[in-house]
Amino acid sequence: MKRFNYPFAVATIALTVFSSCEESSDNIGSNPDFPTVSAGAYILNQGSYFDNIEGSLNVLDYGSDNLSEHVFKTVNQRSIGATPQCGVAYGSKIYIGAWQSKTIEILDKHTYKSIKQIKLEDSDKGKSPRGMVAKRGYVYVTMDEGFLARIDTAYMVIDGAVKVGVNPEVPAIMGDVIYVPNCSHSAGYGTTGTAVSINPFMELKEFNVPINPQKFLSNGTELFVISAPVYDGYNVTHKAVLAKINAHTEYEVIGDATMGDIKGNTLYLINAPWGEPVSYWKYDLVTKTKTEMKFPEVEAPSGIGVDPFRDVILISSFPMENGFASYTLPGYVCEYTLDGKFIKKYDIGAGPACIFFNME
Amino acid sequence: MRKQLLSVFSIISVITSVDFTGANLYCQASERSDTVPVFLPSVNVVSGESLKTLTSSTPYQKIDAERIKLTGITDISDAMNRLPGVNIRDYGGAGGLKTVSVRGLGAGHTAVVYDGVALSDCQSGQIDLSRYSLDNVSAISLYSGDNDDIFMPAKAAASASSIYISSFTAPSPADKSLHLNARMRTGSFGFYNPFLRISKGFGKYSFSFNTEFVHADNDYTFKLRNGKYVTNEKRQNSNMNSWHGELNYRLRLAPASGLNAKLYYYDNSRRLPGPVVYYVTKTDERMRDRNFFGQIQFKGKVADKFSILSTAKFNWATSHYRDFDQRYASGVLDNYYIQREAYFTGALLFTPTSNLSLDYSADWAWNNLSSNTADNIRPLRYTVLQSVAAKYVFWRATAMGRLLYSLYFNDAKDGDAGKNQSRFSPMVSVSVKPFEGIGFYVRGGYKNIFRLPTFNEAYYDNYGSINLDPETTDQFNLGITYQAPSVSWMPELSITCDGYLNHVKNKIVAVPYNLFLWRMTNLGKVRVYGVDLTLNSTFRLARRHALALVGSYSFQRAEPRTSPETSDWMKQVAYIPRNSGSFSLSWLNPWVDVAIHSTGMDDRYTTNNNLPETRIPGFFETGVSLSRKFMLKKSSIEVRGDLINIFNTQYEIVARYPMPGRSWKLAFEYNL
Repeated sequence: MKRFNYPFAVATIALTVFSSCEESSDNIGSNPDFPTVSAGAYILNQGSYFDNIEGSLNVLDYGSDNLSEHVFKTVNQRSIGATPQCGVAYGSKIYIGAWQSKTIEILDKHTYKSIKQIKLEDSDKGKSPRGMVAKRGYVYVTMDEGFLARIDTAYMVIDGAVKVGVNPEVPAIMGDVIYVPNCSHSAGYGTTGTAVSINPFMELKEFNVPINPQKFLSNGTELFVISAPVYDGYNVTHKAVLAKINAHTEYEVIGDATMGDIKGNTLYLINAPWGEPVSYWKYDLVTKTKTEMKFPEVEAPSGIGVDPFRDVILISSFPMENGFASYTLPGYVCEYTLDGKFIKKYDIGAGPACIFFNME
Repeated sequence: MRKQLLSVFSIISVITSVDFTGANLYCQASERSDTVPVFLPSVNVVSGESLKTLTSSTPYQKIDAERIKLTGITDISDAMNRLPGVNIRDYGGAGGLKTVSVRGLGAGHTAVVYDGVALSDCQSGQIDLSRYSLDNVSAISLYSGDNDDIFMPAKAAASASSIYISSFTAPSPADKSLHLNARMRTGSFGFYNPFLRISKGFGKYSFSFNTEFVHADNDYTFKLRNGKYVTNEKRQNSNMNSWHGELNYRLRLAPASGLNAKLYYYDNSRRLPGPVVYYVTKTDERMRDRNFFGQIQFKGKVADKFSILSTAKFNWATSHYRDFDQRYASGVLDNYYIQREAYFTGALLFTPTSNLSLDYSADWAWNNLSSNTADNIRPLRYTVLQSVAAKYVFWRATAMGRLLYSLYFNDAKDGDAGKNQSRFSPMVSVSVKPFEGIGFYVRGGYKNIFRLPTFNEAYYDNYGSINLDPETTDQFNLGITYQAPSVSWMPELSITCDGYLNHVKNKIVAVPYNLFLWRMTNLGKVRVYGVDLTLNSTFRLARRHALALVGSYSFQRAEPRTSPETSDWMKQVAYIPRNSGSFSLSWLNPWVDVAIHSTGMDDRYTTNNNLPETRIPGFFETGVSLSRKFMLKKSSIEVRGDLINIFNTQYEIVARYPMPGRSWKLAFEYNL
């Protein structure tokens, strides 16, 4: 079964305040830790590798209102790798991790030409990327082998790694700390997150989260986690939840959610459990109120991304076939306003899963 | 010496081999039921078996050991590819998994019968044919539909199609000579394969023992296309070491009765190269398969018009999979599965008249599966099968019918079991020779059968479903066989043509219920129709020179027909080619026998949607075989060389699993 992925907590990049940029940071004239505008979005399709359906990088350009498919392969004339899993745009580059190919492609953000491919097959700092965030000149990559690896964006090398829990998933940054969810699917599902300080790059502590954590979300001041459901045969033993992490030692369950994203003081959430209709809701962090949302154009949601600077929600979806989601037919992405008003539907390749934004 | 060989060939090709058969000899033997063997004293060959190809009321093809040699067949996979309507899933290399489906129905609908007893794999429902070496195979037979023989275990009739593998078992007890067959085969990619068979009769009983070892590195090169880049790569982590031994015992109780017993052991430790993944070369997956079975079979006349066939078998099989990878908390995924089967069958044949045969067969089987995995609920299944069948020979026709009643009881020691099942499955077929003196036969038939969900489909963790219903098939066949009269320059020419229509309902497929969970469900309907053609011919060019031309062609349309609303409506089922075929041309001469052979198929798709990017290109693979036999005083030595895939065609049968390019094999064989 393919493991799912979430979009990334890029909002934290925008909302986190830093005193300075470090020497090794990837400067392009403006500080990548302080983006001010968003020019578009990137959507990774995981494809279905063993069915000969390659994954791809797709670019949504707000300016032209156009989505370009297979951008990496068109420019570089080769595959982006098997099962593109995660990505982040930082500074002048885009970083894309291919889980099955054990690679990280570093692309020029404007030409999409590959600047460097980091092969992880022989790495002792993890091999299989699962999630990415960036700050202070470094891209941080969770690796399925139980590491949080660090890429120096100036030299484009992995210069360090911290051992975290088993099968870490999508991290988030709050302040100077990276929070890593330890999914631990290979060891009966985990119930911990690991806090790693950026400087020095080291583990601070482990803390409790709801079982099967998949993704941390932060707006810079508050930290949330989404945990996926746990099944025992047909029975759900633990349903998917959104929980708020309090003081890094305990958590408070807020509601049911299988995926989501954060923008400012609002969480946008999807709950797509097995055997029940998909539901959408948002959560106001200030008033602590839940509001139901509707996205009827979406059939089988696979990912969500909320643009930090624009009035845009993107929800990717598998198409339905015979009443079930198809992992081999081309999917699509629907664009909405923050109020849930439908803007446009973009056709896209098979298995859209990861959405991140082009901020400058 | 070569003259002697050709003399032997001329006898063999005209009499014993199905494909080199002189049918006129058999016409004289009359179209009697194959359940009543007819012996031709001069050649001591059961003519009914060969005649079966012509008169069978169901499509039947056979490749025997002689044909394997003469047509340059190199391995079991190659043999399967020479049969019409057969699709083999071959993951490449000597140790690669090879499963077979017939006429677009899937491997789970194909029974593999080894020395008279159907093999079982309750976990996956598929038999890996790579376990069976051609060195010890005396014949491979394909029944597309039901078996034309009614005197057999009920289980052999419980599949849509069946492949019979007959090994060289113990010789006739009357043959008191010591027979020894020693063979050493070596080849490309670190392949070597010593084989030994010893057999001897002792008057009332006889023994045979055979053993072989196979080592292969399987590190063949292949071209990897990645966009505009093409690189030369080599398969990694793909070596294997397998050992296999069999002990056979045969006891003659009466002229028409006997007991056969077999002990079988197979042990294969291999590394799994996995699919080719861009930018990755290293894997560390390992598999050890072991299989032991013992079986004993009695067959004989118990009264004037009654014969009994009775078999008992115990089967034990383990599969130990390990994937060494830091992604796992313990550094390794270590899964161990054990299957066990106890099986008993009894069949009673009643032949009240010379042209009527009646059979009642009853089978009982117990299967279970245990493992060290989290989902180990220890499922088990009791099977009771009963079959009544009749075969009637009249005028120039043969008609047969069978009604199979199946009962399946599912249970699980530590969890919920799948549904019990019971149902009747009818089958009828008829073969007619419309014109006296002309070797032209028409056959038609219908068969209804089903397959149960495998244990994987029913119980696999977060994937299986205990609510599955059986996958049912309806098969219709209409075919002809024409055998030209034997003339001096063309001792044999036979052509078969069969058209068929299959309907599959309640097809078991995996569907995603959400991002976290897949489930098996009964969803699909498939309609398959097609044509199978075969040609077998022999031409005498000159004294001591002959050409043998053998070919097969299949057209298959396998259309998903679940709903017109779906994107796969009436497209082609994944991995089924529309066109496939094979041919071999053999030149037998006083010096070195030569066979040129080729198999191929056209494009396939990896998904039922037939998206352009999921296309796997078609291919033709061509090989050449050279062999010569040197007769010694009481023994012989045979040398055979094979050039396989001489044009170094790069192709895949399963996506991301490249097949070997050009390679060679060399075999030395000593026969006493």
